Amino acid sequence: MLILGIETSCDETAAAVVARDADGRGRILSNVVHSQLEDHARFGGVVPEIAARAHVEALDGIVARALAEAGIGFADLDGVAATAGPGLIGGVLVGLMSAKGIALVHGLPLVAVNHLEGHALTARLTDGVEFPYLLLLVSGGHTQFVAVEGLGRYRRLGTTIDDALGEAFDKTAKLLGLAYPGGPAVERAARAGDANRFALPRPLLGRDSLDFSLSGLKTAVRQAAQAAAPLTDRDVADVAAAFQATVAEIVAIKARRALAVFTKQTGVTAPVLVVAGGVAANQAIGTALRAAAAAVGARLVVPPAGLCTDNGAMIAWAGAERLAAGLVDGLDAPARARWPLDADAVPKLGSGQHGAKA
Amino acid sequence: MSILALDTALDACSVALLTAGGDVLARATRDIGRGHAEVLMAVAGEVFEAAGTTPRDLSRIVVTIGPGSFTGIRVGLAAARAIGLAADIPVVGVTTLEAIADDALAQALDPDLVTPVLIAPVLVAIDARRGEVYAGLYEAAPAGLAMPTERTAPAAMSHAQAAALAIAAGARVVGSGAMLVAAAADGRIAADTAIRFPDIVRVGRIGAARAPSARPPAPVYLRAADAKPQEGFRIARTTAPDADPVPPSPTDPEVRP
Repeated sequence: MLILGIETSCDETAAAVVARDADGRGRILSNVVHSQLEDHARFGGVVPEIAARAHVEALDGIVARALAEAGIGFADLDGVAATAGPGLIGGVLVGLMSAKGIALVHGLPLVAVNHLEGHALTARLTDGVEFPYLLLLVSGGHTQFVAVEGLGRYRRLGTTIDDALGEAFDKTAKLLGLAYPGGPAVERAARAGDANRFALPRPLLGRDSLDFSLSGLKTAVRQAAQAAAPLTDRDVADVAAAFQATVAEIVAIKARRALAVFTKQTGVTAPVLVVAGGVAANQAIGTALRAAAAAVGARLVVPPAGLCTDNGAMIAWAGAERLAAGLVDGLDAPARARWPLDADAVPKLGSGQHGAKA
Repeated sequence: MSILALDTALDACSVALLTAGGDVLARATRDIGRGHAEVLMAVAGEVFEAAGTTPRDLSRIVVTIGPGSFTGIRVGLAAARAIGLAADIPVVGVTTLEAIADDALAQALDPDLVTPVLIAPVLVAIDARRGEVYAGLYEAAPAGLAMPTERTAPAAMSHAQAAALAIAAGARVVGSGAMLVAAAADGRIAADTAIRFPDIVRVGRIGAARAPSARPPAPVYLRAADAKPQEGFRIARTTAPDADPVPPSPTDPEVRP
């Protein structure tokens, strides 16, 4: 089957066509991503209204390109999938309404995809990973461990109670006067740095917790930097290196714990740990995770960088998996700013009065 | 072949199907205030069914492009542009202000009694909050034309500015912001708030008569996005930071201090 996937939940306007064969193997026919980075860079973060405006201006052209690059027409499609949340609601609405319009014209089934499910299932598209596996989703908006037990069967094992990991990178970059987005900028600066010059705390939230708390680390980074101000390039590199090394260590410790919990709960002795989200591109974190996985006999799977950050292929693929299982949505499907992958999850402390964001 | 008209820019969620000549095949309007994204396709489905036609038979889409709710504008535009792309047909924009003006001017016009030039112009004013209205001044269409003549381009303005515009033109004020404008004019102008959103058939007819290139399906917000650079704490450096905020250029969205 051929599925069109549309992603507009943050600052990438994206569309892709993915094929899924009867055996459940996937193939990406096209994957077009238009980044709005420049529209938001000046504001040091994504501005929701600017993002929504850019999506509505760009999306139809991106969809047309995705079809053209795949060499197909709308009539060749078997379904349309779009991110319906969680994310910035103005942008989500643009993608979802566009998918509804296409579905209306061609009588196609609509799949309203949870953005997190897109990330969660990507490793099945790229690496054919079988259920169950452990997912670590680390991006600007999310930091969580999820036991992926089957299609639509997700159990959150741990999440951040304050900042997301990508957010912590962005805030550190801003503090140090580095470029936006902060992830790549901190990683670049850290290369020349000495990670041992500044001692930073490692908030682990107790022996068994699989949750993250990064706001205290953020404060410690600020205090360390303040004490050394005005900062030379050397200081900036050392602070960045200390921050990145600390984060990598926290993630690795949590990953070992999460793998142990996953093994205990599922009985899978050599589990697969899948990493997704923009932070998966960070090499220090990748190296730490590889070591953590190897230490407990697990296999680490990191999809290619372009499929870890937001893209349409992951939405098309999640749509294809759902469609193959007979899971489709009506054209009245709502956009949802908050939509936890694990709908039964208890909202975490600090996740806001409206409950868990994701 | 038929024309599909959509409006989700203000309180209503409206859909109509018209013949290429502008005759109504079917229409539906739900005055819902919010939730347009969930309802639009169901309303469209009803209208296609009532008209006995399908989206494959369309020759053109007409959509309201604002001013109105930013989200509402995008719900209609995203759907219309996707339908246009998927059906390979043109999409034409119509402003909410001109459609409401068309309605208000028609109510004043009895073609047997008066000619269009004798009809007073209307100032359409939509409440834009923050002490402003989205407003435009319109005159009745000259005989033979399907849409009112736009005398001033749609703009966001204070109640007092809108009142001055109406008084100078001898216009009556219509739309959800009409009373606000009348209050700013100390009651010196006639105001009517009965028309709160476009009549979808008038939207369709204006769009049917318009060359697609004359009004592309691009949003008319009339207001910049609310955005301010994140000032977050930054430690002093001995060398220049990598990311000094770029000063805003005049074409950029409004930056509020």
